[in-house]
Amino acid sequence: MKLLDELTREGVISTHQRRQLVDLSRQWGVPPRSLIRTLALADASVYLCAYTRAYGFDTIDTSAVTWNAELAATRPWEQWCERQAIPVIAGDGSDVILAVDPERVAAEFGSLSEPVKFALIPEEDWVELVGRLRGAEFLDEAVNGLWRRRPELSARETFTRPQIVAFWIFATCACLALWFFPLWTVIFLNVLINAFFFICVAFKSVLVLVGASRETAHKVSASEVAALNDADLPVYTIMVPVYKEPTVIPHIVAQLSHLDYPLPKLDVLVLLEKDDDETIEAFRAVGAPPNFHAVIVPTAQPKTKPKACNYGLPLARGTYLTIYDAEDLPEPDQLKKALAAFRKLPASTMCIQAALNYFNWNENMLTRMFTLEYSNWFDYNLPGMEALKVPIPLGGTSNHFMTSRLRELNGWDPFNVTEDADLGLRATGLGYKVITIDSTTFEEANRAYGNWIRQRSRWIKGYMQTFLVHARRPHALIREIGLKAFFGFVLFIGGTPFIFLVNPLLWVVFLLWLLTDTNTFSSWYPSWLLALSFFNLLIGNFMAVYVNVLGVFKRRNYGLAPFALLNPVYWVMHSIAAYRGLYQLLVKPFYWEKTDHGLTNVRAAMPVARP
Amino acid sequence: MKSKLLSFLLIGLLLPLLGHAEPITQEITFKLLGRKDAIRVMGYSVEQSIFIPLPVADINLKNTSLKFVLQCSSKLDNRSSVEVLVDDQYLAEIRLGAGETPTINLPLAPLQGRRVPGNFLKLTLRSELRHIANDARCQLWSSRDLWFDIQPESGLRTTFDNQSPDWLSVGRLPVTLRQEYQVVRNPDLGFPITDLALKVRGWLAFVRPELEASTLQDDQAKGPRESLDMIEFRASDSGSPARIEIVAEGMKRHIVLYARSEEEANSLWKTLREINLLAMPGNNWKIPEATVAPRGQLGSSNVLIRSIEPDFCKEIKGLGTMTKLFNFDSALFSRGKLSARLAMKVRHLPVTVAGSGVLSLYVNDRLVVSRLLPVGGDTEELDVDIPAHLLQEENQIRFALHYNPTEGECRNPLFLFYYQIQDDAVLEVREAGALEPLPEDLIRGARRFFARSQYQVLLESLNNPEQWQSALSLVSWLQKVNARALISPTLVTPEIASEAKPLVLIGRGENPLWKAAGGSAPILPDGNQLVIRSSDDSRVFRISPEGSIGVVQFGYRRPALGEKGAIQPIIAAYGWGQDGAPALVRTTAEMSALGWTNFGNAVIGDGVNPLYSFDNKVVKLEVDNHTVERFQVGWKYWRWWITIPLWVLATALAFWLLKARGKRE
Repeated sequence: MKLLDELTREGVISTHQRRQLVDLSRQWGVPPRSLIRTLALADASVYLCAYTRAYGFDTIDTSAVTWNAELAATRPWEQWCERQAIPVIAGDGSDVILAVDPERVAAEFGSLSEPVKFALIPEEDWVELVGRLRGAEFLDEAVNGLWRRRPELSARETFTRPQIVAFWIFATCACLALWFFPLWTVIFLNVLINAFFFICVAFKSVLVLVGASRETAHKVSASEVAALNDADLPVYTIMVPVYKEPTVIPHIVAQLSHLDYPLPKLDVLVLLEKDDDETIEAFRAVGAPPNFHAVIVPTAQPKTKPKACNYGLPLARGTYLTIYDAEDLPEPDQLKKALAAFRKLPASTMCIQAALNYFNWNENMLTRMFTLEYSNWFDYNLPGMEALKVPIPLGGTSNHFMTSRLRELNGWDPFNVTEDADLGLRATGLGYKVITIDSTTFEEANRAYGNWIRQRSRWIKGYMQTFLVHARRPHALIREIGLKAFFGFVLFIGGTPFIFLVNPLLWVVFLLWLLTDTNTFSSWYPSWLLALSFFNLLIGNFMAVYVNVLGVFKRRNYGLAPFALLNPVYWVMHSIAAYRGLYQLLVKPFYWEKTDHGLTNVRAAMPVARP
Repeated sequence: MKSKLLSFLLIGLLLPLLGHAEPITQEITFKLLGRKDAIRVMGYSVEQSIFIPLPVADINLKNTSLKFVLQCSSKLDNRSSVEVLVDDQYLAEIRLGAGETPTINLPLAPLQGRRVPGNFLKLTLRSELRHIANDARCQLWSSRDLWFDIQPESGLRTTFDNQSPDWLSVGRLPVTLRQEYQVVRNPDLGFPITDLALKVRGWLAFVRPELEASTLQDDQAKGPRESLDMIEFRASDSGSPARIEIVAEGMKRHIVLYARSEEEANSLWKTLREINLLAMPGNNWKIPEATVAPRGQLGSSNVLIRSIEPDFCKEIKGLGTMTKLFNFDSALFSRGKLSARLAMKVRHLPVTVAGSGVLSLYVNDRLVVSRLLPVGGDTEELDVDIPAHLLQEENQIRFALHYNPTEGECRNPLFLFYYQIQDDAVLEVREAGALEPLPEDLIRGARRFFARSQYQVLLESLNNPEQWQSALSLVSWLQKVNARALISPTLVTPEIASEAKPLVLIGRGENPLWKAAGGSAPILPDGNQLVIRSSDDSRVFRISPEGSIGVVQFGYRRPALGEKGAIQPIIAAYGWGQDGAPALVRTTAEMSALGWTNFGNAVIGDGVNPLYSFDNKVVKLEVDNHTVERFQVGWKYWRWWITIPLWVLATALAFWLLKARGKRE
């Protein structure tokens, strides 16, 4: 209150505003002083002067401070972080704790044994100072943390030595078999391919049918959201990795400011790469609230989104954490829905996945197909997987974590280009649950074919990486997630790229057989195998079209239904992406195919404005 | 004086006795045997058997004659004819004409000593009926116009030595020499059917001579039954569902009568009686002169035996077959092991059908040769060697002319087709000598693989006359290896690509080259080469376009989806390469010559050494290894270019991955 008094006396805020701030602080459960900057009632210098006058904490020259490891070791880093405090050694050699709200920190850390000085630091500078003092340490942890602690779970090594040797033995045996028993070898491989294809298609069909038989996995009603008391809400961290996308910065600030969540309790970390000056400049120019922090990730390999997220993870103050892409348009109540779900679901729930869909779904054929696919994926596939207790590969964004458990999992794998799918598996391995809720984040669907291929090749490459990583230790994986979930993993994570890689081969054989008079393939297909192949061809394609048609019903996008018939064409594009992904898996496995955003001509509808 | 008186008294006493023993002549008509209506024989080529029950086990054929009272259709051309066989022995040929009502007496004396005694006389009428010509050339004649009736006044006239037999007993004793059947009653039939069963047996002797009906027994059927045949009758007035069914019960055959009441049983019998047989001709019939006397004496190695009836003509209309049968006396072939040569000059008209027709010559229903008809009009020589193993004591030579017009073809020359054999045709019979290459047991029935009654011969094109010729060669081969089964090849369009084929034979015409591939993984032309594999990988052929070959495949053809029916054995034949068609003709002809049987199994071989036995599916081959080598450009060649690079690629990739992995580490 002292600060409010000071500001009122200075004429920075009126007495009416003071009363409003007091009321709002009670409603949101935050100190009134934390609202001053967040609501832009005073600029940084005025605020700092008033704070110093009110509480007696002054600022110091931060350019000369160094990391005070000894003092930091007195409590976990999370506690420093949560309070936006950092122990340093000042230029005069004294121990200083710099904090955004030193009054609070001093009250809570007052029992320190050694005499420590508390000093004030602008909120805008806190993240930058932490980055300067601990950036190298954070970067090393972001890149090597998982590898160091659980190397067997890291995709840093794409192929292990046993995997390469096994591949060579298999290839050699196959060549020998082909040499001596060519027909039986071809038939045997054909049987393997067709049987696996059949099982994968059947499994995905079952998933969809199970998913369709339920309403979206977990519904959070409006009344449950309304019942949440803002004063009890925890700090929520939102990470937004951005790279080379200066134009979307204003969009990020606008969209996230409109979320239905107390603004002072939002801890927004915009993850920017150090070499991306353009975007960094755009962020500085946009005038974001002080709780929107620009986290500058030092340049280092691999340049992947999970590495950036890992770098931002130690800076996350929230009890919960979520990730949005730059162009995302989450439903405004999504954070509260996730929170309500966390509170009512079992304690083992580690992550809640919101559905993704597209706001530019009717822009062109590609966006329509993409929308059909995502509708099917998030509305049927994931609920189906949840129902069947199959590990859920998380979506790239809108996955809400308990921050502490995310740290327990060592964050994301920076070498895996579908780090989200990998994280879902690792979470399941530790006995945590991944749950889906009925909230949607609208994204921008890829409208450009080249962009789509790049994005999809990364996804499929990531699935291959994830499969290779977790297939290294099948026994352990079965022990951790169970046999059923293991099969689900094989069929879903392994089966998806397999189908896309094999599909064009089967089509080529089929078309050659259909369009020419060749009998080359006749002997490859005994009658029973021919029946299975035709079943795969007919029923496989039918099911693919059918499940896509199903996708339109839940969201009542009936106009999309005819486009489901184009699914075979869409599969061809998948296959192109799959082969591109396979090539990259071999030659540059960690390369992150950047998806360009902001290409759409469709203006997204703004979410409902916050009250 | 006294002795003369005693002689006269003795003669006087014996004369009445001699008079009592005088031969008795009786005429029994079909009408007396219960047939009230005429028997109609209808169609282009029909074979109709009639059984006349006899009151005694044997009759004296010397004093017996057949009487046929016939009524001919007004649409019959005077080239129509009926061959009459008695107990499968040729007796005579009757010419029929439009609207004629001939009555014909045929003495059975020529058959004396050749008939197997029995309780019935089997008459076989092989009719070749032709329609009278008119100007409507493209009109397809209805077979309904081609008929003649055998009137119920027809019958048998015979003389008995001493007493008149009881003709009323014949209803009880008609017996054939075929399978035994028991007439049993329907278990549901709640009334005695002894009378009906007896009547049915009599009827069966007429209409189904291959069935034997013994005495009536109660239904003893216990085990599972397999229905073999069903004859269902519906009386026009009663709509009775009565029927008879032939069923198999284990090794036994039963004929089961189905009738639900006595009324139905009577109705059945009434219906059956209406189907009873027999009839006959009018005044203008004639029996052709039996045979032309031999022009030489049998005894030397080359002896002219007889000439063949000259100058016969037949008509063929559209797609079809016509046949002409010649019978030869058994005396000509009674000198043991003989072979024969048929030499004649032939000519056919019109000339424009060249390449569209095929002549086939059968000896005792075995195809000996088939050849394309050349450009007509010119006289050509036909010289055919008849293998000794085909000759029996009594022999028939049958000419069959097949004509397959081009689709949509309908033109004047096709309407009448004549094939003329000039009168200097000869059949030479000679003693079998060194030319006989085949083993003595050559023509044993192939009871296993080829014990099927029907085969489909799959060809590339029905309009290709060479395919016809090949098909006929294949039929010939089938008949050689499966003498007992009735082969009725069906020509269908090929659907051979997707079928399992257990055997492939390849022949190359110029030199005897036979290759076979067992197993289930064959071939067809693929791109510009022919690839043939066997499942055991021991044989892979890749044949270049320069190597024209004929290919014969044996296999099975499954019914198409939605199509009923059993798996059908097939023979697929096709020529490949620039001269594929003639190569196929040569291959099939060669194969036809090389078919024989060994311990009952069909074998393909060189006459001595089996190359392929259909019993054990042994893959054995190669008459000429040197020649075959040219064609062996298969997987053994290509695997160097496929497998090795694949392995090198996989190994290089593995090494590269290991190296890259090390770098990242």
